[in-house]
Amino acid sequence: MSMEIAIPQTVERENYLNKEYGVWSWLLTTDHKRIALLYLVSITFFFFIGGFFALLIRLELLTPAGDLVQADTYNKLFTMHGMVMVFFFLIPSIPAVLGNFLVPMMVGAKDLAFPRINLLSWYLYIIGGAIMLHCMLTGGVDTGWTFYTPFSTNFTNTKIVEAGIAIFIAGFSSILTGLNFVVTIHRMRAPGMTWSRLPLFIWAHYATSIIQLLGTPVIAITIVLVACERALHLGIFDPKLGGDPLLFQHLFWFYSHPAVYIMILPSMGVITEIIACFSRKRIFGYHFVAFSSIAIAVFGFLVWAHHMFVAGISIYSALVFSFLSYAVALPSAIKVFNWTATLYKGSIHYDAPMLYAFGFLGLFTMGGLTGLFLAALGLDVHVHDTYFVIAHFHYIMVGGAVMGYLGGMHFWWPKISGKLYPEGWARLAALIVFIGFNLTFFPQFVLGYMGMPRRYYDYSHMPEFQVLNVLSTAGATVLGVGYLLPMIYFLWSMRYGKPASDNPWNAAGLEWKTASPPPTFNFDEEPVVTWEAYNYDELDAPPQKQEVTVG
Amino acid sequence: MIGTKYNSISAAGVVLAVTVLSLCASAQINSGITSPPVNERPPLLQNVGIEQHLDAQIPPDLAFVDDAGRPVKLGDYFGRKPLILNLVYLNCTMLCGQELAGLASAMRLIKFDAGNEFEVITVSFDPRETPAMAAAKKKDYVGRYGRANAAAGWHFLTGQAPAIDALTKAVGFQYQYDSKTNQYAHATAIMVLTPQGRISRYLYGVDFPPKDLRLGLVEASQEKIGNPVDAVLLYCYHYNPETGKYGAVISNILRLAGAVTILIIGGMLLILWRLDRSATRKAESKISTYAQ
Repeated sequence: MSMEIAIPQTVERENYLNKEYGVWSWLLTTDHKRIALLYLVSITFFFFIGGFFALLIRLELLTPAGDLVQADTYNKLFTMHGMVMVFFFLIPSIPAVLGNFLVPMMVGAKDLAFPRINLLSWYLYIIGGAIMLHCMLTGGVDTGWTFYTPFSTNFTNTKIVEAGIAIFIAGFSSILTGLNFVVTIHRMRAPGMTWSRLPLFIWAHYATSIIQLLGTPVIAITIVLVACERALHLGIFDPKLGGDPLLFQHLFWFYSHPAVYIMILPSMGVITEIIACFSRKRIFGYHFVAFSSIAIAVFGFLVWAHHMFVAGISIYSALVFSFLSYAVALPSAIKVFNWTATLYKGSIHYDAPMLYAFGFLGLFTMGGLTGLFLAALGLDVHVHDTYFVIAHFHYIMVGGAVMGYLGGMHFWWPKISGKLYPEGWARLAALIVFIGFNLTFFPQFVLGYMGMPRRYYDYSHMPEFQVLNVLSTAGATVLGVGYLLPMIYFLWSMRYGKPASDNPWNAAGLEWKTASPPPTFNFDEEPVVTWEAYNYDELDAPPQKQEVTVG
Repeated sequence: MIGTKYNSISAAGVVLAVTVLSLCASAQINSGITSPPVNERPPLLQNVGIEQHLDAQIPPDLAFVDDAGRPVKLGDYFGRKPLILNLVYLNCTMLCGQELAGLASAMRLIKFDAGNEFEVITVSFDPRETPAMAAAKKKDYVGRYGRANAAAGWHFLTGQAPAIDALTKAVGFQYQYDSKTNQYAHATAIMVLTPQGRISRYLYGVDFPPKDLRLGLVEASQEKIGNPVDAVLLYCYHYNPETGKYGAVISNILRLAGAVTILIIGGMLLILWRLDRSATRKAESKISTYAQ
């Protein structure tokens, strides 16, 4: 690693961080890098709110009796945990922070295609978030993040409409970000940056953006319909008025299943970059990894009804959806095999980002394989609505998406902040997160298989579940520490960290060929790309052959 | 007359821009007037109501007299255009006038002209009434309708008891004479007939939504009249015999909205990919200039 080669700098270069100061220079910025940081702060805020709810849930489940909170409060806790984490943390996490920061730089552009729309999408997110906060502070919602009818439309007295408005607005933030990425990736690539030279991070974001464009409007419609049904009793979902209650579940999962891919695909993109860099190899099967992202986006839209196997859909459609759910495992498996094949005979470096990538590989594989259990018609009946499902999707959405997010934050932190984070602490944090995560969620697989239903706050009729629940709660505490650590040392490094060179990892990719932190328009002159992606063999070649690069 | 309240959904599917696809369902709570089963009606109304005979053929050989005093058979009007049939009595002081006025004002609001795209037959079910009374009524309502050519397309018929009985039986129209008030107790509805004289739709009440009237005529004509927009509307709105209204079919609206979304996003991607190809060619030539 070339970390020790410090570039002598007498005067600090002008970059996107020190170009302007003051609140308005941030709140009115159209610089994609500053907007990425605005998102970083906002999603971190919501992450800790969602985490706080999770902590209360785990504390309640520490003992079999429902003694910490009341049943209604517990319902609100898991609902708000889900809504905040899904809509205000996971969905915007990698695309809006790392994607916003990196997509223009990786394709060699000055900014996104629509910088003002980019700022607008942050404001939409903030407006949605503020409404959600208000909703939480004034009572919250108790339907579960899934808004299932008829409870949400005919029975609950909680703030469905307000939460719906919040998610509706935040959804448009997601749609606009997706639109911006699609157009940027198509129209703003630097000369020579062909599609097959794009980093796979970009392919992953392209696939994600298509899902955002196509899927998010559907959840918006669905929420509007729920609100209309609730306020006006139109008879859309209520069978008494000629409606169809299953229609809601179809619509909801038509978005919310692909939404999982909105969370995991960008994370896969991050992991691809990290694995290539820290194995010092071109990624194995570039085109397979690229097209498997598109395949996931396409197949991801055809599996939604596997959430409804016990809801009364016809056995024939259940069979088809079961089959398609198996099919969507194929592109994911292609990725996992290609990553491990990239590691093979690689020169592997165990820096913190790579530790997160390893964590991702193991946890995502477990999450994916247990997904196959749930896609199996018979087994799903047994574990439906149990902690098995909870554990499964947390392995994907936390073990997968959040590990990727943290790995990416570490990998690109020198570029974002211009400072190095403390490597020792970072490795420790990665280890703590991995251990804490498994301790939290592995026992839940067992609990679910043994029959503990999700969303119960009191399991005193089954006191033998307590041991595993105590393990899980202990794990959640460890996990909490693991998440706090990076926040602390990232903040610390902004002030006290060593300055980072332009390319501390000696990584491939255009974003490493400009300064750290980058200037406002990313590159001092328009880059011209003449090399293939992941040209680590060239980068690691003896220095006399190395090309002189701008930066 | 006892009206049972039904809620019919009227939803307007609104497809917004590429990214913005939203569906707004607007509330339109209509009280469709339909008859409860005979055993649930009060004694006076035991024999009053409408029993739907959808798709039944109206006997074409029933003889009536038109407003000019000429003897006609119902079959004379069949075979050309969709028809609107309604049963009233001309001396009626209550519902019939409202019904005819409601029909006239609904017809004013649709683009089809009575006489061109469809015809209207108003039959008196009181055998005591005469062609002269019919002509007076016709003058009144055709005047209200106010379109050229309407006199040739709106027929007011009177006739004898046997023909009236046969017709009212055929359409399921039940009424009762009340000698105290010298009035008839009856239900109000208009029937939309196919050009061949089969009953296609019953629209209840005295006030007919123009959308329902138009869609009813388009359907009765087997879509020989109307335009592609009607075809889209008929995909989203289906006739509900229970309410006698057209209601939104949410799942079809959603299908349609989904198809439109895919078309818009697919179209956008297609354009972007095409632009991309030309841009790549330009960039390649640029690089080759660098190389030279």
